[in-house]
Amino acid sequence: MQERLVISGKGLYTALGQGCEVHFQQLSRAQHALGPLDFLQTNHGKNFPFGEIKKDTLELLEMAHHSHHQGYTRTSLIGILALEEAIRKAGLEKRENFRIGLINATTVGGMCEVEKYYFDILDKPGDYSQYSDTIDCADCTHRIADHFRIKHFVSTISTACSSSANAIMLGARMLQQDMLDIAICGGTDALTRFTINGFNALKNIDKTFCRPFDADRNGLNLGEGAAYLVLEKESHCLKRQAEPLAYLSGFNNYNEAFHPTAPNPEGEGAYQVMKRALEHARLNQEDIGYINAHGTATLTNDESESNAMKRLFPALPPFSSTKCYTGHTLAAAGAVEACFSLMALREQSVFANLNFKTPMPKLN
Amino acid sequence: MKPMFIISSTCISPQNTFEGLEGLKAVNYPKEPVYYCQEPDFSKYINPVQIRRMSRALKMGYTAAIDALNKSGFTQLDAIIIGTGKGCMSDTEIFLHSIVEYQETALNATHFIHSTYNQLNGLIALNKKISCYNITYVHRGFSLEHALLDAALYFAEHPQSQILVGSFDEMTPDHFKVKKQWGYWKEEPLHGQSLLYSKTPGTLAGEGSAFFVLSSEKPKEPAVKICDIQTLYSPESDEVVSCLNNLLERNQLQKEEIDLLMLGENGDVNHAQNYPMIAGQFPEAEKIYFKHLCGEYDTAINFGLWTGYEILLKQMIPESMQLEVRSEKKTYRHLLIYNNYFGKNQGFMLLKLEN
Repeated sequence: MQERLVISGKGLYTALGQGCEVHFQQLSRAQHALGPLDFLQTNHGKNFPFGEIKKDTLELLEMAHHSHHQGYTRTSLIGILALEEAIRKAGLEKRENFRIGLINATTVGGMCEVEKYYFDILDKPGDYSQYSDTIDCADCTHRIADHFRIKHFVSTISTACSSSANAIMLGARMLQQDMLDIAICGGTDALTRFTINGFNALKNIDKTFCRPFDADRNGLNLGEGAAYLVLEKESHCLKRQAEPLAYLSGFNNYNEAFHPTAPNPEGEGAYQVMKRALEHARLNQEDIGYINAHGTATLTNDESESNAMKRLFPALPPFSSTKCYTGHTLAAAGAVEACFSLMALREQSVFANLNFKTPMPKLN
Repeated sequence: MKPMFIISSTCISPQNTFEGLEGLKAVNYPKEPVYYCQEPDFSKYINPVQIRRMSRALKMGYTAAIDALNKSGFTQLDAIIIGTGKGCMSDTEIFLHSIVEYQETALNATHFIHSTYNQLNGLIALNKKISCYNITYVHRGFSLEHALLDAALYFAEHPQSQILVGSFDEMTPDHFKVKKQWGYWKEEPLHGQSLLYSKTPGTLAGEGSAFFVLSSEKPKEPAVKICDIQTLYSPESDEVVSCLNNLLERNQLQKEEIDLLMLGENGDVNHAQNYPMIAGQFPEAEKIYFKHLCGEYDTAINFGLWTGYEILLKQMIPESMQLEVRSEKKTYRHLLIYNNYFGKNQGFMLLKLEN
């Protein structure tokens, strides 16, 4: 029997604000943070609602105590600011000799800066050297690791919208195999022209506020954010007199091999991972009190997830998507929503699924 | 770490490695300080509809993966785990370019989809109808190492598994020029082993893909196993040495038992300092080098791992990989790889031949 894993800290930064407290307030009051862009330069800034963090990158630099011209991208900075809260909440400012791993997730990395000048480097004179290595996913992870002097294990996962969920799983598995004492897992993604234009080309963005699980839903809203969880074995947490917030008892990753961008309408992938996560946790369907769904509000995703939930749960527990508060934060979404789920457990409250009016006809 | 046996493998590189280790007998050198892969006939592996939309990176990665899978004889897998430093760089560049050129209107989503790092993972699963654990590590010079570490974790959890692990990275003409501005590359190509003696900054750019089918159970015939992998983030020199000593100790090995030492030296004087130190620890071992044959890239270690595996299995070292050829012939049993990717990503991999 493996020892139980606990979550002993969490940190969050999204369009709803900085820190877990403000997130809980806004979620409880059903206050979303979507609207036009103020900072990112794109022709689409007023066409769609976005979950933009209302600080420009210079302000974020100051908040993270870094100086200009050193190559800190927005992705790195919101990551640092979210992780700072997780470390503080976990009481890890003094770390002794723990084997700490940082398992980060991102889909855009430093693209938020690189997209502004990539081709200029070739033909326009200027000093671009501060961003020399920021194009990849590892740059922000290195920056965050260096900021917190984490060295023992440093890695990055990029599997689109499941990235930070996978980061949490890897951390848990490494703890179980005694490769780490503490795993700090999560993800960070800034809004970029690259992703906005990508999702727009896929015709996946709603011009109005997204409506997860509504019959008239018409796509997602994009957001930016970062979130991290601190994981450790229960005995390790208690020994250092930290407070366990919750147990992490089950998880799963499964590729349904259906289509490059669309999910199986029957929800095979979501069904399999939920079923296997329950088995891993040795829980039954009726033990589940709330499902925080991925709920992107695209036509195909929500149909697929609804079918998966209906197939697995004879009596469907309350479920909601919280994408309608923050927008889809891509690589960060898994960790952001893990933090929301922790709040739901700790405060015994379920967050409203905004903009829901009409149930899908086939699903009641 | 749970040891893993290599059941089969395929490597696409700037050399003719697709045909096996024999392909390294005649070596190709580039005219510019950048290596591009020798491409096998992709149409034997990819259908005509898909191939037109695929970038070189995707074609190379997919072909290496499917060829390795075919050789293994397995039709199902328990995990597909891939590492890449930059993913499909050319798709990323094309989409970036089109955003500017078409002023954010009427864009084709294909290049955006292909720019996502887990594209190859998904394509293998989809085309081969393999539903299983599926994940992508995108951490520069640790990408393949962490994919392998995940496989070892998976074997520890599910001992009876078959896992496909590999990596891919492509160099593009634009990305070569961009990194040139920042001093990554030498001005002129230095051919063969002269790269390793250069004592100047910069290296040669490269690319490649290699895939491995792994099992935790030893096959009947002699086989190579990956015994240990250790990554070191931004280590000091003394940390590299203590990590090496720990690795040998936990594998119950004396330094003399390392028959072959493979070094990821790339000719860049700015990141060369740890190599002589590591080489000095193993005076008995034969030294092998590989980056003068494949160039430097995030997952160049895949060329090292593939050649290391082949060398142990065939008990033959291609002449092009050695600075000095020794006359006495002994059995090569343990091979240790040390790699240093521009200082921040360093690490060891230990391979062993089991009869």
